[in-house]
Amino acid sequence: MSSAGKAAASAAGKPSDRTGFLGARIPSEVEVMTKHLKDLDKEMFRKILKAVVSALEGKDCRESMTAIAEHGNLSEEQLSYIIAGMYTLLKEALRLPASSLKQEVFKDDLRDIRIAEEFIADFASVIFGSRRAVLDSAAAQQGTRRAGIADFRWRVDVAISTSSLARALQPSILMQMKLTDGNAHRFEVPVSKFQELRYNVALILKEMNDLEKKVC
Amino acid sequence: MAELESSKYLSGLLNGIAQNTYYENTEITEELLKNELYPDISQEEFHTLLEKMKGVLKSIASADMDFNQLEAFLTAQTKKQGGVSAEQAAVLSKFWKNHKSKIRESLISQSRWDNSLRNVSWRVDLKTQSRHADQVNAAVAVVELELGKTGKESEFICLEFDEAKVNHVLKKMCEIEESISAITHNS
Repeated sequence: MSSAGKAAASAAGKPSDRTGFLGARIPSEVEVMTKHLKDLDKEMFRKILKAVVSALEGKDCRESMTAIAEHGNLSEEQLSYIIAGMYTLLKEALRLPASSLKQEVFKDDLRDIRIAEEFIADFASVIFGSRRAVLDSAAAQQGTRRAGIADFRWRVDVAISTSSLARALQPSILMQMKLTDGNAHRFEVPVSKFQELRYNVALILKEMNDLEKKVC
Repeated sequence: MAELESSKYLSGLLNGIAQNTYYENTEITEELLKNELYPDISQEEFHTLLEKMKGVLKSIASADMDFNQLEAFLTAQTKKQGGVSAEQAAVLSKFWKNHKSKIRESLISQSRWDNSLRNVSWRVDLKTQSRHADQVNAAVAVVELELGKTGKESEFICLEFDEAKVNHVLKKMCEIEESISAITHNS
């Protein structure tokens, strides 16, 4: 009942009283895109959409983009407007959890900015379709986060003798860490520093436990 | 009185040698030491004294002598031709007692050529809001490791850990601890 009313209101050109998922002010790249979508045929639209979704998944889509640029009958400028608009539109929709942005609302919002019905269906199938999980995990990886430890190895060395110390007998720990961002670090830890490190790690764990108890 | 005086200067000389050789203080030069401590003797005489003391100190430091070994060594030196006097031996003994650990530490670090862990800083954050509901109220440890080597600027590595990861690291630390204990008990 209410969606029919809303559809009527949109058709009449009256704005709906809810802020769309794109925000109070539609991003300019999305607005520009909607103008250029009018000249697009379905096949070309789908090709570009596919490439943009690929990019959102973190894949390298230079080849497909180049192919589209070369074989399509769009100018480079038009293509860039469409790509930018699609990317922003999808990114904004993906930011919201699937539970808070419902498909019908999403479609209504796109109708509000005058995107053609057949294109709306394609956009919806990206956001609410089977590939949503893949897109979500790609987004999670791109989020602001520091590296973590992917691999941690150690060994204990004992320096028996050195050029400056005939009788050293000094144990030392060598640590090798591979981080999740691909970097690797190898460093030595003197025994005294190791004790300090171990104490601090235990303290961190205690703090984390205490914090979670307080909050829950 | 004269004895006390010369002991004072020898002590100063040994300190200067330690500064230059072990604590990497390049400002303490041979010239400086001569001018400050032994201005009245000839350049040659000073140089001989300096080299002798350097040699004795080197032997002591390199062997990381304990006090029994030190006594034996110094006694032998006093009996040697061109060795040290009993008074000088006393100064050397006192000096080594004060500087033994520090010099040893310095020598050990001279054979550390890779990055070594200089410092660890950390904090625990609580993630309150996130796109993913299951991360709400999850504690995150943010750790900064300072790695460096002598003469180079430190590198700072920032890492994050969830509770499971911290646990994992702690377990590894316990394994390392066991390994070290086994070695130090056997040596």
